[in-house]
Amino acid sequence: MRRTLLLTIESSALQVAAGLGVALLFNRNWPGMGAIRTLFLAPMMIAPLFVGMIWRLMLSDDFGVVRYLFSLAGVSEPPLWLDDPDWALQTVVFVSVWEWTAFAMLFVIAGLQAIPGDVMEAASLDGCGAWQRFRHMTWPLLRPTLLAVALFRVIDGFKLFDIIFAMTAGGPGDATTTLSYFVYQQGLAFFDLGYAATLALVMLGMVAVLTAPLLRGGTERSAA
Amino acid sequence: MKRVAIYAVALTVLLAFVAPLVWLAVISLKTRAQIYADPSTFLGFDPTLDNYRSLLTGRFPVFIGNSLVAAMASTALALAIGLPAAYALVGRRLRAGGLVRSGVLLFRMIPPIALLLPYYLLFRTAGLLGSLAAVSVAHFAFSIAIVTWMTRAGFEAVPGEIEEAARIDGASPLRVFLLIAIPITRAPIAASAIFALLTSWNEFLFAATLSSPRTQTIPVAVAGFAGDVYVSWGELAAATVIGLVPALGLAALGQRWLLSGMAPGAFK
Amino acid sequence: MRTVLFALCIAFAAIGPARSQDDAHTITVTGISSFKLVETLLPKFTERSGIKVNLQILPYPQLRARAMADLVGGTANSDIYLQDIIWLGEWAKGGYVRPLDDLFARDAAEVKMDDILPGAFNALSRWDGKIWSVPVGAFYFIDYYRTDLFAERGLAPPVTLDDVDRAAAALTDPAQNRFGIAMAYQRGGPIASWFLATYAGAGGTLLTDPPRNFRPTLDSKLALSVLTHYVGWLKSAPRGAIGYHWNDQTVAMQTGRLAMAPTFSVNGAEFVKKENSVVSDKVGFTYMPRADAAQKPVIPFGGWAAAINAHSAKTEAAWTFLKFILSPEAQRDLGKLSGTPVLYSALNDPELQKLYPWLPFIAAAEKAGAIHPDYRPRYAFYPQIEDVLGLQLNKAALGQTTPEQALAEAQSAITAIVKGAGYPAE
Repeated sequence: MRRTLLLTIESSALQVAAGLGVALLFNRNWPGMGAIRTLFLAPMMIAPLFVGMIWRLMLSDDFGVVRYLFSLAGVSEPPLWLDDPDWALQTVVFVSVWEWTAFAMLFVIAGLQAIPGDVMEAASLDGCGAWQRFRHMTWPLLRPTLLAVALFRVIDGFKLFDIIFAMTAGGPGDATTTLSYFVYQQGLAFFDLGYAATLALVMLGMVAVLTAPLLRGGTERSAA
Repeated sequence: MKRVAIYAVALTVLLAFVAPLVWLAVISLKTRAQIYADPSTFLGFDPTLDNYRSLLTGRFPVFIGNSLVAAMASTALALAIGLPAAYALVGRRLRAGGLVRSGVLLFRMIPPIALLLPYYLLFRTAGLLGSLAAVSVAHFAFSIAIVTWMTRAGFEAVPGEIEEAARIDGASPLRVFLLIAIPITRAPIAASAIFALLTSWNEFLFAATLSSPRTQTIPVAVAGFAGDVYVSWGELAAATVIGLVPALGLAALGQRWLLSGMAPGAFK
Repeated sequence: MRTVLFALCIAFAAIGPARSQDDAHTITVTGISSFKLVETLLPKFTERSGIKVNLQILPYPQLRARAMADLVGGTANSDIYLQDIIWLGEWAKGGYVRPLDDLFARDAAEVKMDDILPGAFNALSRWDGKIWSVPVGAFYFIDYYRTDLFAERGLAPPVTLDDVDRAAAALTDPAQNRFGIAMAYQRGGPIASWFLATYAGAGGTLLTDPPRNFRPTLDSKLALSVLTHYVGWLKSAPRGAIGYHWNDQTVAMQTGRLAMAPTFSVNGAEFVKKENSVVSDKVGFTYMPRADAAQKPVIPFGGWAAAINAHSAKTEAAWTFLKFILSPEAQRDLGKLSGTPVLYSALNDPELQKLYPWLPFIAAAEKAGAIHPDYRPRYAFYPQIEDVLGLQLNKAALGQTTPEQALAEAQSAITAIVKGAGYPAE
């Protein structure tokens, strides 16, 4: 339970933050930027199950490319990313950030588009610096979008399962056994569908509670 | 000068994120023995196109077609239902909008595994089991919440005065929706459409359960390379790389819509 | 708008169900990836019988989900399902699949039952006095080792657990990227299954005496000794072995890192395939290590069978396909690719023996009745057992608990599971 929350909150926060940064960087109508943005979406185009498998191969201590890169940097014994109970959950967070940052980027760009260009121009002419423009214009206008993105990332983070299944099977020990992995096991592995459905409803309640602040934030904005 | 620096940073960020996929592409050109060589090699090996050849001469092209159909059908469905819904949910039109919006979300909050059997039984009763229609409808159900939520915020920003003016000029609500609200909101719509496409493109669990041998989508076919005895990494990587191409194409199309309303250099 | 809607309708009509192809001469077979090899034989089958085969290959969890949804739901979306050995009891008890005794009796002239490997047949297909399926892949768990490395050090093939310890320690040389042994240690199925195979090889059985007494035996001295050895082998294993799935063990052996790799013969087949393995001509094999050299050796057994959906309307066509798979010719062709045929005649085929040198050894063990079908209990509750056992063993391997604690935890959890399933455990 604690692990589920940690995973959900940490990965959502990182995804939204990274997505915002990348979106601000990519939000330019310059030649080539469209292609860059499109390519950036690529991690999302691969089924999470295979994302997990591919990262597991890359992180393998026997022939993984990651260990090789570390050895080039002079580190001969990097951590066992997936097999060390102290690292495994963080590795799962990392991989989920890798896959889903593009989601945040996509919608933040859409949100930025809604900010009228002339407003920015005017502010710029009035001598507002980049940071001031961001702080006082972009941020308030983008807030509803960011809340909605965070909302979906939290919901999906809570359900995250494929990556864990493919990379660690809930291990080592129970370091990456999250609620959704547990529900999956009850449902598909043991075929105890009644129990799985009950757990799923409990989870539903928990996500609803967890996302309530985000929901309220979003609604207040739109009511204003 | 500043522009060059920004390009450099943007490209670096992009590379950092797609590096694993570049490596995947390298793997797809290797034989099994080369993949497991230690240390790993980026370039110092004899590339082979065998993995691609065996895929493209087999049934894989059919599965690409299936994925395209499922992705486009589920996206079309999600837009056809989600956009009017989002438009109607705009705060000033519907008092209980918040409640309905939360309701739409509930569906996305349920762990998919709990929905698998209900779906299976539903489609069996409908006689659709094993068809692409079943897969598309299931994928549509995943993306509808995102489409509704993300485009509602956009519709919310459409100035009420413009709609009002159009209505006074005699435009029907449908015309206002189609000709005024949608064009103004096109950025979130494009983003939602891209996302809906990708949701279907990379979904595995439902596609694997609801499809038949003829209607497999790409992820289901790729899963066949992750064997119980060994993983055919070369073919798996090649299949993944091939699967990226149409998805990138679709996303690129959506991108053009996403930014077409942008004033050049609006954000220096 | 109207055009769009119209296009949508057309599109959905186009992707709706296409039933026309599903006539009486097409059967659907749903299986696991190791069964994909059968694809090469399908054209021959269709040509001879006029029956078309829709082959659906799925990963293990999806195969399980589809099979259960279809079988429990009483429908026939697939006529034949591949059946894992541990599903046999569940499927037989539920009546999900069709008993085949009458068909075997009717076609006795065509299907030589005494050519089917008895240990495999018994383990994969016989339950409660009836035949429920047809074996298609027979996997024998034996200890593979590197003949060259053992010869270099003048070591004899290991017989006991202590022999394995000694050989593993002697052959480990991290500087040369060489390790004595690696087992599967990843949480869940990998460590549970590989440990239970080692336990069975050493003379243990997880449940005391099913179906009379289901009491687990993990509180025994033997279980503790086996787990202590098993965890101890990590000292002679690659660093990453603590996270090994069995696939990782296979690759480690193929790439020449390991001196010993106890595993199923289906994985062993990968060791000797030249195109995939750098040690293809240096692979030896022996029984799993025993606790005591005087013990009678046993071979833990696993594998796949094919069963006919009880609700299939195409039983005859499905049976024709199963007979074809069981034919000596198909077994020889399949066996060449897989190394896991189910007929004596295929085991004794010289060409196959040249490819997979352990086949005569298997044939002899089958004749001697040394096959252990229940190293993993073939009951519906096995997945739950595997889960708790897999977690506790993994904790012991990580050093989070001692082997004693891990086994005690597993013992009480498994007792609760079997009792909860309504079986006696005294």
